[in-house]
Amino acid sequence: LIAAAGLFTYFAFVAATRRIFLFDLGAVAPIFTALIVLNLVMAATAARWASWRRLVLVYQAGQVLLCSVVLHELGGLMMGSLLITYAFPVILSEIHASDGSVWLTANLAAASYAALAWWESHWLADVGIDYQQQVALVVFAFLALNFLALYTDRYGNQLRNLARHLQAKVAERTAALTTLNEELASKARALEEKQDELRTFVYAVTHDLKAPLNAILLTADLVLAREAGALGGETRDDLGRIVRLAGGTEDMIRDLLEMFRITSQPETAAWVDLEALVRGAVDALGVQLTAKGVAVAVGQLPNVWGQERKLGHVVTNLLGNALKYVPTGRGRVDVAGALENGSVVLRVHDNGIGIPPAYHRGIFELFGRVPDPEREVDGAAPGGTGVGLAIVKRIVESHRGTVRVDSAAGQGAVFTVRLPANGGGRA
Amino acid sequence: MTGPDVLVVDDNQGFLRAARAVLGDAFRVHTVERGRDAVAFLERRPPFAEAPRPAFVILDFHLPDMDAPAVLDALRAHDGLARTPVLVLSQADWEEDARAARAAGARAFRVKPSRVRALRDVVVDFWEEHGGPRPADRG
Repeated sequence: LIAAAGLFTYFAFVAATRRIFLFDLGAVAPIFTALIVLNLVMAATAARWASWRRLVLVYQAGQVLLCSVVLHELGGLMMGSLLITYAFPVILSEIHASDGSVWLTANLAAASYAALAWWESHWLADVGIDYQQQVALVVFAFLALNFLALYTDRYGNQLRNLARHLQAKVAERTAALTTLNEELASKARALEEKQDELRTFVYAVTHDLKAPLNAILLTADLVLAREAGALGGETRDDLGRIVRLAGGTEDMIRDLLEMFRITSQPETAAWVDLEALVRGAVDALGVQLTAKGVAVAVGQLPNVWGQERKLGHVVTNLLGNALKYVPTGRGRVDVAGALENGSVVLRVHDNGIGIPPAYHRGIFELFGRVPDPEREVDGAAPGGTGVGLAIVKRIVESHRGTVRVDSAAGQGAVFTVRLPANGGGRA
Repeated sequence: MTGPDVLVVDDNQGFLRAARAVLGDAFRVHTVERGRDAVAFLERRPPFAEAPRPAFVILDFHLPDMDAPAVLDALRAHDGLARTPVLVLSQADWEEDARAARAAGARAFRVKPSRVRALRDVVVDFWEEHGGPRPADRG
Protein backbone atom coordinates (compact mmCIF):
# COMPACT_ATOMS: atom_id res chain seq x y z
CA LEU A 1 0.00 0.00 0.00
CA ILE A 2 2.88 2.35 0.88
CA ALA A 3 4.56 1.43 -2.41
CA ALA A 4 1.32 2.10 -4.28
CA ALA A 5 0.93 5.46 -2.55
CA GLY A 6 4.55 6.35 -3.36
CA LEU A 7 4.16 5.37 -7.01
CA PHE A 8 0.92 7.26 -7.24
CA THR A 9 2.49 10.43 -5.84
CA TYR A 10 5.46 10.09 -8.16
CA PHE A 11 3.39 9.67 -11.28
CA ALA A 12 1.01 12.42 -10.27
CA PHE A 13 4.10 14.60 -10.19
CA VAL A 14 5.07 13.24 -13.62
CA ALA A 15 1.66 14.04 -15.02
CA ALA A 16 1.74 17.56 -13.62
CA THR A 17 5.18 18.47 -14.93
CA ARG A 18 5.05 16.25 -18.01
CA ARG A 19 8.57 15.27 -17.18
CA ILE A 20 10.15 12.02 -16.09
CA PHE A 21 13.69 12.36 -14.82
CA LEU A 22 15.18 14.78 -17.34
CA PHE A 23 13.00 13.76 -20.26
CA ASP A 24 10.05 15.66 -21.56
CA LEU A 25 7.02 13.36 -21.83
CA GLY A 26 5.17 15.78 -24.05
CA ALA A 27 2.06 14.47 -25.69
CA VAL A 28 2.25 10.95 -24.18
CA ALA A 29 2.11 12.20 -20.57
CA PRO A 30 -1.70 11.74 -20.27
CA ILE A 31 -1.52 8.21 -21.75
CA PHE A 32 1.35 7.33 -19.45
CA THR A 33 -0.40 8.68 -16.34
CA ALA A 34 -3.74 7.10 -17.26
CA LEU A 35 -1.98 3.76 -17.66
CA ILE A 36 -0.37 4.05 -14.23
CA VAL A 37 -3.64 5.00 -12.55
CA LEU A 38 -5.53 2.22 -14.33
CA ASN A 39 -2.89 -0.29 -13.22
CA LEU A 40 -3.05 0.85 -9.64
CA VAL A 41 -6.84 0.65 -9.65
CA MET A 42 -6.75 -2.80 -11.19
CA ALA A 43 -4.18 -3.97 -8.66
CA ALA A 44 -6.29 -2.67 -5.80
CA THR A 45 -9.40 -4.37 -7.12
CA ALA A 46 -7.70 -7.58 -8.24
CA ALA A 47 -10.26 -9.81 -6.53
CA ARG A 48 -13.06 -8.44 -8.73
CA TRP A 49 -11.25 -9.51 -11.90
CA ALA A 50 -10.72 -13.11 -10.84
CA SER A 51 -13.33 -14.44 -13.29
CA TRP A 52 -12.05 -12.24 -16.15
CA ARG A 53 -8.57 -13.79 -16.43
CA ARG A 54 -8.48 -13.90 -20.25
CA LEU A 55 -9.61 -10.29 -20.56
CA VAL A 56 -6.95 -9.23 -18.08
CA LEU A 57 -4.29 -11.07 -20.10
CA VAL A 58 -5.40 -9.30 -23.28
CA TYR A 59 -5.25 -6.03 -21.38
CA GLN A 60 -1.67 -6.84 -20.25
CA ALA A 61 -0.61 -7.53 -23.80
CA GLY A 62 -2.24 -4.29 -24.98
CA GLN A 63 -0.46 -2.48 -22.21
CA VAL A 64 2.93 -3.89 -23.23
CA LEU A 65 2.36 -2.61 -26.76
CA LEU A 66 1.18 0.75 -25.50
CA CYS A 67 4.27 1.00 -23.27
CA SER A 68 6.42 0.27 -26.31
CA VAL A 69 4.74 3.10 -28.21
CA VAL A 70 5.30 5.43 -25.25
CA LEU A 71 8.92 4.34 -25.09
CA HIS A 72 9.33 4.95 -28.80
CA GLU A 73 7.74 8.38 -28.62
CA LEU A 74 10.03 9.33 -25.76
CA GLY A 75 13.10 8.72 -27.84
CA GLY A 76 13.33 5.02 -28.25
CA LEU A 77 15.93 2.80 -26.68
CA MET A 78 17.95 5.84 -25.73
CA MET A 79 15.76 5.82 -22.68
CA GLY A 80 17.05 2.55 -21.33
CA SER A 81 15.90 3.53 -17.87
CA LEU A 82 12.31 3.59 -19.10
CA LEU A 83 12.45 -0.17 -19.25
CA ILE A 84 10.76 0.23 -15.86
CA THR A 85 7.55 1.00 -17.76
CA TYR A 86 7.26 -2.69 -18.49
CA ALA A 87 7.35 -3.49 -14.78
CA PHE A 88 3.71 -2.51 -14.45
CA PRO A 89 2.16 -5.12 -16.71
CA VAL A 90 4.51 -7.75 -15.28
CA ILE A 91 3.61 -7.03 -11.64
CA LEU A 92 -0.06 -6.65 -12.51
CA SER A 93 -0.20 -10.04 -14.22
CA GLU A 94 1.23 -11.60 -11.06
CA ILE A 95 -1.37 -9.86 -8.94
CA HIS A 96 -4.17 -11.05 -11.18
CA ALA A 97 -3.13 -14.62 -11.81
CA SER A 98 -1.01 -17.13 -10.00
CA ASP A 99 -0.18 -19.16 -13.11
CA GLY A 100 2.76 -18.54 -15.46
CA SER A 101 1.22 -15.46 -17.05
CA VAL A 102 3.87 -13.34 -15.34
CA TRP A 103 6.54 -15.00 -17.55
CA LEU A 104 4.41 -14.56 -20.61
CA THR A 105 3.97 -10.87 -19.92
CA ALA A 106 7.65 -10.33 -19.10
CA ASN A 107 8.82 -12.01 -22.32
CA LEU A 108 6.17 -10.28 -24.41
CA ALA A 109 7.54 -7.01 -23.02
CA ALA A 110 11.13 -8.08 -23.79
CA ALA A 111 10.08 -9.09 -27.31
CA SER A 112 8.48 -5.67 -27.83
CA TYR A 113 11.69 -4.14 -26.64
CA ALA A 114 13.63 -6.21 -29.17
CA ALA A 115 11.18 -5.17 -31.91
CA LEU A 116 11.73 -1.55 -30.95
CA ALA A 117 15.46 -2.04 -31.16
CA TRP A 118 15.07 -3.52 -34.66
CA TRP A 119 12.73 -0.67 -35.66
CA GLU A 120 15.08 2.01 -34.38
CA SER A 121 18.28 0.22 -35.45
CA HIS A 122 19.37 2.81 -38.05
CA TRP A 123 18.61 5.72 -35.89
CA LEU A 124 20.49 4.19 -32.99
CA ALA A 125 23.51 3.62 -35.20
CA ASP A 126 23.35 7.29 -36.18
CA VAL A 127 23.78 8.36 -32.56
CA GLY A 128 26.75 6.03 -32.07
CA ILE A 129 25.16 2.90 -30.62
CA ASP A 130 26.48 0.13 -32.80
CA TYR A 131 24.89 -3.21 -33.54
CA GLN A 132 26.69 -5.02 -30.71
CA GLN A 133 25.55 -2.44 -28.19
CA GLN A 134 22.02 -2.73 -29.51
CA VAL A 135 22.10 -6.50 -29.00
CA ALA A 136 23.49 -5.93 -25.50
CA LEU A 137 20.60 -3.58 -24.72
CA VAL A 138 18.02 -6.16 -25.87
CA VAL A 139 19.73 -8.96 -23.93
CA PHE A 140 19.85 -6.74 -20.87
CA ALA A 141 16.12 -6.04 -21.27
CA PHE A 142 15.37 -9.79 -21.55
CA LEU A 143 17.41 -10.54 -18.45
CA ALA A 144 16.07 -7.64 -16.42
CA LEU A 145 12.44 -8.43 -17.23
CA ASN A 146 12.85 -12.14 -16.53
CA PHE A 147 14.54 -11.38 -13.21
CA LEU A 148 11.66 -9.13 -12.40
CA ALA A 149 9.24 -11.93 -13.32
CA LEU A 150 11.22 -14.38 -11.18
CA TYR A 151 11.12 -12.19 -8.10
CA THR A 152 7.53 -11.19 -8.64
CA ASP A 153 6.54 -14.82 -9.03
CA ARG A 154 8.43 -15.97 -5.94
CA TYR A 155 7.32 -13.09 -3.77
CA GLY A 156 3.78 -13.44 -5.09
CA ASN A 157 3.75 -17.14 -4.27
CA GLN A 158 4.90 -16.46 -0.75
CA LEU A 159 2.28 -13.80 -0.34
CA ARG A 160 -0.42 -16.04 -1.75
CA ASN A 161 0.68 -18.91 0.50
CA LEU A 162 0.58 -16.61 3.47
CA ALA A 163 -2.82 -15.30 2.42
CA ARG A 164 -4.14 -18.84 1.89
CA HIS A 165 -2.74 -19.89 5.26
CA LEU A 166 -4.31 -16.91 6.96
CA GLN A 167 -7.59 -17.48 5.19
CA ALA A 168 -7.62 -21.11 6.29
CA LYS A 169 -6.86 -20.04 9.87
CA VAL A 170 -9.59 -17.43 9.79
CA ALA A 171 -12.06 -19.94 8.37
CA GLU A 172 -11.04 -22.46 11.02
CA ARG A 173 -11.45 -19.94 13.85
CA THR A 174 -14.72 -18.69 12.41
CA ALA A 175 -16.06 -22.22 12.28
CA ALA A 176 -14.93 -22.84 15.87
CA LEU A 177 -16.53 -19.59 17.00
CA THR A 178 -19.72 -20.38 15.14
CA THR A 179 -19.91 -23.77 16.83
CA LEU A 180 -19.21 -22.17 20.19
CA ASN A 181 -21.85 -19.52 19.57
CA GLU A 182 -24.39 -22.14 18.63
CA GLU A 183 -23.57 -24.10 21.75
CA LEU A 184 -23.88 -20.99 23.88
CA ALA A 185 -27.16 -20.05 22.24
CA SER A 186 -28.59 -23.50 22.80
CA LYS A 187 -27.39 -23.43 26.41
CA ALA A 188 -28.97 -20.01 26.88
CA ARG A 189 -32.20 -21.36 25.39
CA ALA A 190 -32.08 -24.39 27.69
CA LEU A 191 -31.44 -22.11 30.65
CA GLU A 192 -34.34 -19.91 29.66
CA GLU A 193 -36.58 -22.92 29.36
CA LYS A 194 -35.44 -24.14 32.78
CA GLN A 195 -36.09 -20.68 34.17
CA ASP A 196 -39.58 -20.67 32.66
CA GLU A 197 -40.18 -24.15 34.01
CA LEU A 198 -39.04 -23.02 37.44
CA ARG A 199 -41.30 -19.98 37.28
CA THR A 200 -44.28 -22.12 36.36
CA PHE A 201 -43.39 -24.52 39.16
CA VAL A 202 -42.98 -21.81 41.80
CA TYR A 203 -46.14 -20.16 40.57
CA ALA A 204 -48.18 -23.36 40.78
CA VAL A 205 -46.73 -24.33 44.16
CA THR A 206 -47.43 -20.88 45.54
CA HIS A 207 -51.03 -20.94 44.41
CA ASP A 208 -51.75 -24.51 45.40
CA LEU A 209 -50.06 -24.20 48.81
CA LYS A 210 -51.50 -20.83 49.65
CA ALA A 211 -55.11 -21.50 48.64
CA PRO A 212 -55.88 -24.07 51.37
CA LEU A 213 -53.79 -22.14 53.90
CA ASN A 214 -55.80 -19.05 53.10
CA ALA A 215 -59.07 -20.94 53.67
CA ILE A 216 -57.77 -22.41 56.96
CA LEU A 217 -56.74 -18.97 58.19
CA LEU A 218 -60.01 -17.31 57.21
CA THR A 219 -62.07 -20.10 58.74
CA ALA A 220 -60.17 -20.13 62.04
CA ASP A 221 -60.19 -16.36 62.20
CA LEU A 222 -63.91 -16.36 61.43
CA VAL A 223 -64.62 -18.78 64.27
CA LEU A 224 -62.54 -16.61 66.61
CA ALA A 225 -64.40 -13.47 65.56
CA ARG A 226 -67.87 -15.00 65.56
CA GLU A 227 -67.66 -17.15 68.68
CA ALA A 228 -65.30 -14.96 70.71
CA GLY A 229 -67.58 -14.86 73.71
CA ALA A 230 -68.83 -18.44 73.55
CA LEU A 231 -65.44 -20.19 73.34
CA GLY A 232 -63.58 -21.41 76.38
CA GLY A 233 -60.21 -19.82 77.04
CA GLU A 234 -58.27 -22.92 76.03
CA THR A 235 -60.16 -23.33 72.73
CA ARG A 236 -59.61 -19.68 71.95
CA ASP A 237 -55.88 -20.09 72.61
CA ASP A 238 -55.77 -23.19 70.38
CA LEU A 239 -57.57 -21.41 67.56
CA GLY A 240 -55.24 -18.45 68.01
CA ARG A 241 -52.29 -20.85 67.72
CA ILE A 242 -53.69 -22.26 64.49
CA VAL A 243 -53.97 -18.76 63.06
CA ARG A 244 -50.44 -17.91 64.21
CA LEU A 245 -48.84 -21.09 62.86
CA ALA A 246 -50.73 -21.08 59.57
CA GLY A 247 -49.97 -17.35 59.27
CA GLY A 248 -46.27 -18.09 59.79
CA THR A 249 -46.36 -20.69 57.04
CA GLU A 250 -48.16 -18.26 54.78
CA ASP A 251 -45.44 -15.68 55.44
CA MET A 252 -42.77 -18.27 54.61
CA ILE A 253 -44.40 -19.02 51.27
CA ARG A 254 -44.69 -15.30 50.58
CA ASP A 255 -41.02 -14.71 51.40
CA LEU A 256 -39.90 -17.76 49.47
CA LEU A 257 -41.68 -16.38 46.46
CA GLU A 258 -40.15 -12.99 47.12
CA MET A 259 -36.69 -14.54 47.23
CA PHE A 260 -37.29 -16.36 43.99
CA ARG A 261 -38.53 -13.17 42.37
CA ILE A 262 -35.59 -11.07 43.56
CA THR A 263 -32.86 -13.56 42.71
CA SER A 264 -34.25 -14.71 39.36
CA GLN A 265 -34.89 -11.24 37.95
CA PRO A 266 -32.65 -10.82 34.89
CA GLU A 267 -30.52 -7.72 35.19
CA THR A 268 -27.43 -6.41 33.41
CA ALA A 269 -24.29 -5.55 35.37
CA ALA A 270 -22.93 -2.02 35.58
CA TRP A 271 -20.85 0.13 37.89
CA VAL A 272 -22.86 0.61 41.05
CA ASP A 273 -22.39 3.51 43.45
CA LEU A 274 -22.44 1.52 46.67
CA GLU A 275 -22.60 4.62 48.85
CA ALA A 276 -25.67 5.96 47.01
CA LEU A 277 -27.22 2.51 47.31
CA VAL A 278 -26.67 2.44 51.08
CA ARG A 279 -27.93 6.01 51.56
CA GLY A 280 -31.01 5.16 49.50
CA ALA A 281 -31.69 2.12 51.69
CA VAL A 282 -31.22 4.19 54.85
CA ASP A 283 -33.72 6.72 53.49
CA ALA A 284 -36.19 3.96 52.66
CA LEU A 285 -35.93 2.62 56.22
CA GLY A 286 -36.01 6.16 57.62
CA VAL A 287 -39.39 5.92 59.37
CA GLN A 288 -38.54 2.66 61.16
CA LEU A 289 -35.03 3.88 62.07
CA THR A 290 -36.43 7.07 63.57
CA ALA A 291 -39.23 5.20 65.37
CA LYS A 292 -36.70 2.94 67.06
CA GLY A 293 -34.20 5.74 67.66
CA VAL A 294 -31.40 4.07 65.69
CA ALA A 295 -28.37 6.14 64.65
CA VAL A 296 -26.89 5.15 61.28
CA ALA A 297 -23.45 6.28 60.14
CA VAL A 298 -22.45 5.70 56.50
CA GLY A 299 -18.77 5.99 55.65
CA GLN A 300 -17.16 6.42 52.24
CA LEU A 301 -17.92 3.44 50.04
CA PRO A 302 -16.28 2.43 46.76
CA ASN A 303 -18.05 1.69 43.48
CA VAL A 304 -18.59 -1.93 42.58
CA TRP A 305 -19.39 -3.79 39.37
CA GLY A 306 -22.70 -5.65 39.72
CA GLN A 307 -26.45 -5.76 39.41
CA GLU A 308 -27.80 -2.68 41.10
CA ARG A 309 -31.28 -3.86 42.08
CA LYS A 310 -29.99 -7.10 43.55
CA LEU A 311 -27.19 -5.35 45.44
CA GLY A 312 -29.86 -2.94 46.67
CA HIS A 313 -31.67 -5.92 48.21
CA VAL A 314 -28.40 -7.02 49.87
CA VAL A 315 -27.94 -3.60 51.46
CA THR A 316 -31.61 -3.26 52.47
CA ASN A 317 -31.69 -6.73 54.02
CA LEU A 318 -28.48 -6.19 56.01
CA LEU A 319 -29.67 -2.80 57.27
CA GLY A 320 -33.15 -4.17 58.01
CA ASN A 321 -31.60 -7.05 59.92
CA ALA A 322 -29.43 -4.69 61.99
CA LEU A 323 -32.43 -2.46 62.66
CA LYS A 324 -34.41 -5.46 63.89
CA TYR A 325 -31.87 -6.61 66.47
CA VAL A 326 -30.62 -3.35 68.01
CA PRO A 327 -32.24 -2.17 71.25
CA THR A 328 -34.76 0.66 71.06
CA GLY A 329 -33.27 4.07 71.83
CA ARG A 330 -29.64 2.91 71.93
CA GLY A 331 -29.25 1.36 68.50
CA ARG A 332 -26.23 2.17 66.35
CA VAL A 333 -25.43 0.93 62.87
CA ASP A 334 -22.14 1.73 61.13
CA VAL A 335 -21.74 1.07 57.44
CA ALA A 336 -18.15 1.16 56.22
CA GLY A 337 -16.43 0.12 53.03
CA ALA A 338 -12.99 -0.33 51.57
CA LEU A 339 -11.00 -1.77 48.70
CA GLU A 340 -8.95 -4.70 49.99
CA ASN A 341 -6.85 -6.94 47.72
CA GLY A 342 -9.03 -6.36 44.68
CA SER A 343 -12.24 -6.84 46.64
CA VAL A 344 -14.87 -4.32 47.51
CA VAL A 345 -15.63 -4.83 51.19
CA LEU A 346 -18.86 -3.67 52.79
CA ARG A 347 -19.23 -3.90 56.57
CA VAL A 348 -22.47 -3.41 58.44
CA HIS A 349 -21.73 -3.16 62.15
CA ASP A 350 -24.52 -3.04 64.73
CA ASN A 351 -24.58 -2.95 68.53
CA GLY A 352 -27.54 -5.33 68.75
CA ILE A 353 -28.06 -8.59 70.59
CA GLY A 354 -25.43 -10.43 68.58
CA ILE A 355 -25.48 -13.98 67.26
CA PRO A 356 -24.07 -17.00 69.11
CA PRO A 357 -21.28 -18.58 66.94
CA ALA A 358 -23.22 -21.86 66.68
CA TYR A 359 -25.72 -20.15 64.35
CA HIS A 360 -23.27 -18.21 62.17
CA ARG A 361 -23.66 -20.64 59.31
CA GLY A 362 -27.36 -21.46 59.75
CA ILE A 363 -28.64 -17.89 59.60
CA PHE A 364 -27.67 -17.67 55.92
CA GLU A 365 -29.71 -20.72 55.05
CA LEU A 366 -33.28 -20.57 53.83
CA PHE A 367 -35.62 -20.11 56.83
CA GLY A 368 -32.54 -20.36 59.06
CA ARG A 369 -32.90 -18.36 62.26
CA VAL A 370 -31.58 -18.19 65.78
CA PRO A 371 -34.17 -19.86 68.08
CA ASP A 372 -36.63 -17.38 69.59
CA PRO A 373 -35.39 -17.29 73.20
CA GLU A 374 -31.87 -16.48 72.04
CA ARG A 375 -32.89 -13.62 69.78
CA GLU A 376 -35.13 -11.58 72.01
CA VAL A 377 -34.61 -7.85 71.82
CA ASP A 378 -36.48 -5.44 74.08
CA GLY A 379 -38.07 -8.52 75.66
CA ALA A 380 -39.53 -10.16 72.54
CA ALA A 381 -38.32 -12.02 69.46
CA PRO A 382 -38.89 -9.92 66.33
CA GLY A 383 -40.98 -11.38 63.51
CA GLY A 384 -39.64 -12.63 60.22
CA THR A 385 -39.22 -15.90 58.38
CA GLY A 386 -35.45 -16.22 58.02
CA VAL A 387 -35.31 -15.51 54.31
CA GLY A 388 -33.58 -12.09 54.31
CA LEU A 389 -30.01 -13.32 54.91
CA ALA A 390 -30.55 -16.25 52.52
CA ILE A 391 -31.38 -13.66 49.84
CA VAL A 392 -28.20 -11.75 50.78
CA LYS A 393 -26.09 -14.90 50.47
CA ARG A 394 -27.56 -15.92 47.14
CA ILE A 395 -27.11 -12.51 45.56
CA VAL A 396 -23.58 -12.07 46.91
CA GLU A 397 -22.57 -15.52 45.68
CA SER A 398 -24.09 -14.91 42.26
CA HIS A 399 -21.73 -11.91 42.16
CA ARG A 400 -18.87 -14.30 43.03
CA GLY A 401 -18.51 -12.72 46.42
CA THR A 402 -18.74 -13.92 50.01
CA VAL A 403 -20.66 -12.87 53.09
CA ARG A 404 -19.81 -13.68 56.70
CA VAL A 405 -20.75 -12.61 60.16
CA ASP A 406 -18.53 -11.95 63.17
CA SER A 407 -20.43 -11.83 66.40
CA ALA A 408 -21.02 -13.25 69.84
CA ALA A 409 -24.13 -13.18 71.99
CA GLY A 410 -24.65 -9.70 73.39
CA GLN A 411 -21.71 -8.28 71.46
CA GLY A 412 -23.38 -6.82 68.38
CA ALA A 413 -22.67 -8.19 64.92
CA VAL A 414 -20.50 -7.34 61.93
CA PHE A 415 -21.72 -8.56 58.56
CA THR A 416 -18.95 -8.45 55.95
CA VAL A 417 -19.71 -8.66 52.25
CA ARG A 418 -16.79 -9.11 49.85
CA LEU A 419 -17.39 -8.56 46.14
CA PRO A 420 -14.78 -8.74 43.37
CA ALA A 421 -14.11 -5.10 42.49
CA ASN A 422 -14.13 -5.94 38.77
CA GLY A 423 -17.11 -8.27 38.93
CA GLY A 424 -14.98 -11.42 39.14
CA GLY A 425 -13.81 -11.14 35.56
CA ARG A 426 -17.28 -10.79 34.16
CA ALA A 427 -17.34 -7.71 32.02
CA MET B 1 -79.17 -10.28 53.38
CA THR B 2 -79.32 -6.68 52.27
CA GLY B 3 -77.08 -4.30 50.38
CA PRO B 4 -75.58 -4.41 46.91
CA ASP B 5 -75.31 -7.73 45.10
CA VAL B 6 -71.80 -9.06 44.78
CA LEU B 7 -70.67 -12.09 42.82
CA VAL B 8 -67.70 -13.93 44.34
CA VAL B 9 -65.90 -16.27 41.94
CA ASP B 10 -63.46 -18.67 43.59
CA ASP B 11 -62.75 -22.39 43.34
CA ASN B 12 -61.92 -22.73 47.04
CA GLN B 13 -65.09 -23.51 49.00
CA GLY B 14 -63.42 -22.54 52.25
CA PHE B 15 -62.83 -19.07 50.88
CA LEU B 16 -66.42 -18.82 49.53
CA ARG B 17 -67.80 -19.84 52.91
CA ALA B 18 -65.64 -17.25 54.69
CA ALA B 19 -66.55 -14.60 52.14
CA ARG B 20 -70.26 -15.27 52.65
CA ALA B 21 -69.84 -15.00 56.42
CA VAL B 22 -67.57 -11.94 56.36
CA LEU B 23 -69.40 -9.95 53.68
CA GLY B 24 -72.93 -11.24 54.29
CA ASP B 25 -73.97 -8.46 56.62
CA ALA B 26 -73.08 -5.71 54.17
CA PHE B 27 -73.73 -7.28 50.76
CA ARG B 28 -75.97 -9.86 49.11
CA VAL B 29 -73.27 -12.42 48.34
CA HIS B 30 -73.59 -14.82 45.39
CA THR B 31 -70.92 -17.41 44.75
CA VAL B 32 -69.79 -19.54 41.80
CA GLU B 33 -66.73 -21.76 41.49
CA ARG B 34 -65.89 -21.72 37.81
CA GLY B 35 -65.13 -19.05 35.25
CA ARG B 36 -67.80 -20.16 32.82
CA ASP B 37 -70.40 -20.16 35.63
CA ALA B 38 -69.38 -16.59 36.40
CA VAL B 39 -69.92 -15.60 32.78
CA ALA B 40 -73.27 -17.44 32.67
CA PHE B 41 -74.31 -15.78 35.94
CA LEU B 42 -73.51 -12.35 34.61
CA GLU B 43 -75.19 -13.05 31.28
CA ARG B 44 -78.19 -14.53 33.15
CA ARG B 45 -78.04 -17.73 31.20
CA PRO B 46 -79.47 -20.94 32.68
CA PRO B 47 -79.12 -22.07 35.36
CA PHE B 48 -78.68 -18.43 36.38
CA ALA B 49 -81.64 -17.01 34.42
CA GLU B 50 -83.10 -15.46 37.56
CA ALA B 51 -79.80 -14.10 38.85
CA PRO B 52 -79.64 -10.43 39.85
CA ARG B 53 -77.21 -8.12 38.12
CA PRO B 54 -74.34 -7.78 40.64
CA ALA B 55 -73.02 -4.32 41.55
CA PHE B 56 -69.49 -5.67 41.45
CA VAL B 57 -67.53 -8.88 41.10
CA ILE B 58 -64.75 -10.42 43.21
CA LEU B 59 -62.78 -12.70 40.95
CA ASP B 60 -60.02 -15.16 41.87
CA PHE B 61 -57.15 -15.00 39.40
CA HIS B 62 -56.77 -18.76 39.09
CA LEU B 63 -59.90 -20.71 38.33
CA PRO B 64 -59.88 -24.32 37.20
CA ASP B 65 -61.35 -23.57 33.77
CA MET B 66 -60.31 -19.99 33.00
CA ASP B 67 -58.03 -17.36 34.50
CA ALA B 68 -59.23 -13.89 35.45
CA PRO B 69 -58.20 -12.15 32.20
CA ALA B 70 -60.21 -14.72 30.19
CA VAL B 71 -63.30 -14.10 32.32
CA LEU B 72 -62.79 -10.34 32.00
CA ASP B 73 -62.46 -10.65 28.22
CA ALA B 74 -65.75 -12.52 28.11
CA LEU B 75 -67.41 -9.77 30.18
CA ARG B 76 -66.02 -6.97 28.10
CA ALA B 77 -67.69 -8.42 25.02
CA HIS B 78 -71.06 -7.46 26.58
CA ASP B 79 -72.18 -3.87 26.56
CA GLY B 80 -74.14 -4.33 29.75
CA LEU B 81 -71.32 -6.00 31.67
CA ALA B 82 -68.27 -4.07 30.54
CA ARG B 83 -68.77 -1.45 33.26
CA THR B 84 -69.29 -3.81 36.19
CA PRO B 85 -66.34 -3.17 38.53
CA VAL B 86 -64.20 -6.27 39.03
CA LEU B 87 -61.78 -6.82 41.92
CA VAL B 88 -59.25 -9.54 41.11
CA LEU B 89 -57.77 -11.43 44.05
CA SER B 90 -54.68 -13.60 43.78
CA GLN B 91 -52.54 -15.67 46.12
CA ALA B 92 -49.44 -13.69 45.22
CA ASP B 93 -48.71 -10.23 43.88
CA TRP B 94 -47.12 -11.39 40.65
CA GLU B 95 -46.57 -8.31 38.54
CA GLU B 96 -47.37 -10.17 35.33
CA ASP B 97 -50.73 -11.27 36.70
CA ALA B 98 -51.54 -7.79 37.96
CA ARG B 99 -50.68 -6.33 34.55
CA ALA B 100 -52.72 -8.97 32.71
CA ALA B 101 -55.73 -8.43 34.97
CA ARG B 102 -55.62 -4.64 34.63
CA ALA B 103 -55.13 -4.88 30.88
CA ALA B 104 -58.23 -7.07 30.68
CA GLY B 105 -60.24 -4.43 32.53
CA ALA B 106 -59.98 -5.29 36.23
CA ARG B 107 -60.39 -2.19 38.41
CA ALA B 108 -58.04 -3.53 41.08
CA PHE B 109 -55.68 -6.43 41.76
CA ARG B 110 -55.02 -7.45 45.38
CA VAL B 111 -53.36 -10.28 47.26
CA LYS B 112 -56.12 -12.38 48.77
CA PRO B 113 -56.40 -11.45 52.46
CA SER B 114 -56.21 -14.28 54.95
CA ARG B 115 -57.79 -12.53 57.94
CA VAL B 116 -61.45 -11.67 58.39
CA ARG B 117 -60.82 -8.02 59.10
CA ALA B 118 -58.44 -7.59 56.15
CA LEU B 119 -60.82 -9.31 53.74
CA ARG B 120 -63.66 -7.08 54.79
CA ASP B 121 -61.49 -3.94 54.49
CA VAL B 122 -60.25 -4.84 51.01
CA VAL B 123 -63.76 -5.47 49.70
CA VAL B 124 -65.37 -2.46 51.39
CA ASP B 125 -62.56 -0.15 50.23
CA PHE B 126 -62.97 -1.44 46.71
CA TRP B 127 -66.72 -0.95 46.75
CA GLU B 128 -66.33 2.54 48.19
CA GLU B 129 -63.86 3.50 45.49
CA HIS B 130 -65.49 1.89 42.47
CA GLY B 131 -69.12 1.41 43.35
CA GLY B 132 -71.34 3.06 45.87
CA PRO B 133 -71.51 4.41 49.39
CA ARG B 134 -69.78 2.73 52.28
CA PRO B 135 -72.13 0.03 53.56
CA ALA B 136 -73.22 0.23 57.15
CA ASP B 137 -70.64 -1.51 59.30
CA ARG B 138 -72.50 -4.08 61.25
CA GLY B 139 -69.59 -6.49 61.69
